Amino acid sequence: MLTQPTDRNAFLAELSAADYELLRPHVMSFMLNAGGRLQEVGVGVDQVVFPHSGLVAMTMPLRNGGSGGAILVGREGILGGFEAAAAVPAMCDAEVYIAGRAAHMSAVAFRQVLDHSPTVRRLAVRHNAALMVQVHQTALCNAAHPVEARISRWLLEVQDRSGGFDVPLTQHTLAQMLGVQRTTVNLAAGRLEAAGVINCRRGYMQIVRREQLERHACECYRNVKAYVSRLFALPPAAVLATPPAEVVARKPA
Amino acid sequence: MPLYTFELQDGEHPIGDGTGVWFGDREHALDHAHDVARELMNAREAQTRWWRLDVYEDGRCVGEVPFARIDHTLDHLKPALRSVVERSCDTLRSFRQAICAARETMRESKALVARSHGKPYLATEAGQPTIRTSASMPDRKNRRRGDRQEGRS
Repeated sequence: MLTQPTDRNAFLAELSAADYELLRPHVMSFMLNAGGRLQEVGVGVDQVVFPHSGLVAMTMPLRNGGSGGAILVGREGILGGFEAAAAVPAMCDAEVYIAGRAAHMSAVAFRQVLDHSPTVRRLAVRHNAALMVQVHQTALCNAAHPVEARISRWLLEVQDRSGGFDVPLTQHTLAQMLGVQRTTVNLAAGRLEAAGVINCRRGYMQIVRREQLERHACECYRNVKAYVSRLFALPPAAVLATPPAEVVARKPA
Repeated sequence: MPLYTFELQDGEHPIGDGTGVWFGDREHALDHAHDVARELMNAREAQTRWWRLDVYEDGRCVGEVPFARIDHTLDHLKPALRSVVERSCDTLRSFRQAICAARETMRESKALVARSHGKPYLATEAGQPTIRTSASMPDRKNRRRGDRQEGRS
């Protein structure tokens, strides 16, 4: 399968050359600016976004102006794909937490491509499954795991997407992601800092010992990672497009 | 409007909340401390029962929230038994703090002996100097107080 090496987004990179040609006329590059809002819950989705870098958090708003229940989307995912496919309003807010580059295309064009190509459709569903497992795991995590384990998990998740050992998230942002008080994050992060696992700096956090941070993190980090690895280790969507000969043979006339 | 800061006593070194929060009155600050304590102990009540959250108003301690007092997993206990558990938690925290301080002193003593013999020694532990000099000790003690001053400005 030919891939597109110039596109860093995992979805675009996994497309075959033929499938990429279907999308290419509609795809445009743009910059993700920190704090920018890409979608709002209940509002129609016009664009499907493919981040090449940076980090977008999908959250649900609270009546007091806060938000919680963050799901992270980086270069491994797509934003608004499910809504575009089903032509439904956005299921949550999406805000850029870490600036980066991305590509976007109109939801209508994306839907047309999905209708035209079963392989793109299958790949989109696969990416949606990766998102859904994060949703399920986060719901469990918020209810069952202590705040330090959750902070550790999110720091690892963010580092996986952003690369370096400096995690450009403030404690305020982390508190919003976890749906807890900022004081709680300060104190829990202070305990991790005292254990020599991280350093808290103004405007960012620094991971000092990743292996220890993994030990502090709850099982959710490993579970999501394991599922997503399994998901993308499956045969490429293009291979699955043609049913195996024996399946065709068994079909009733 | 006073600035309230919070300090977690977890049986080892106190952990300070450097930034603090502005509240109109002490009651709101104590409510906030209760919320924070509940969030910190959530899903690990038994492991954090001896912890305590201290509330400071402009650098002066104005309230304490022992986690055992707000631990809902102890609600089934009779009041007399519950107060015994709460007192035991206080004792346990003090005991752990004493052990932690003793460990630090031992580590420092070993380092001092090694240094006097010209041998290698552990210079820092989790970013803190093992040998506490007269200059480093007030720094360490007043670090969080300094943070508070910084947050106030």
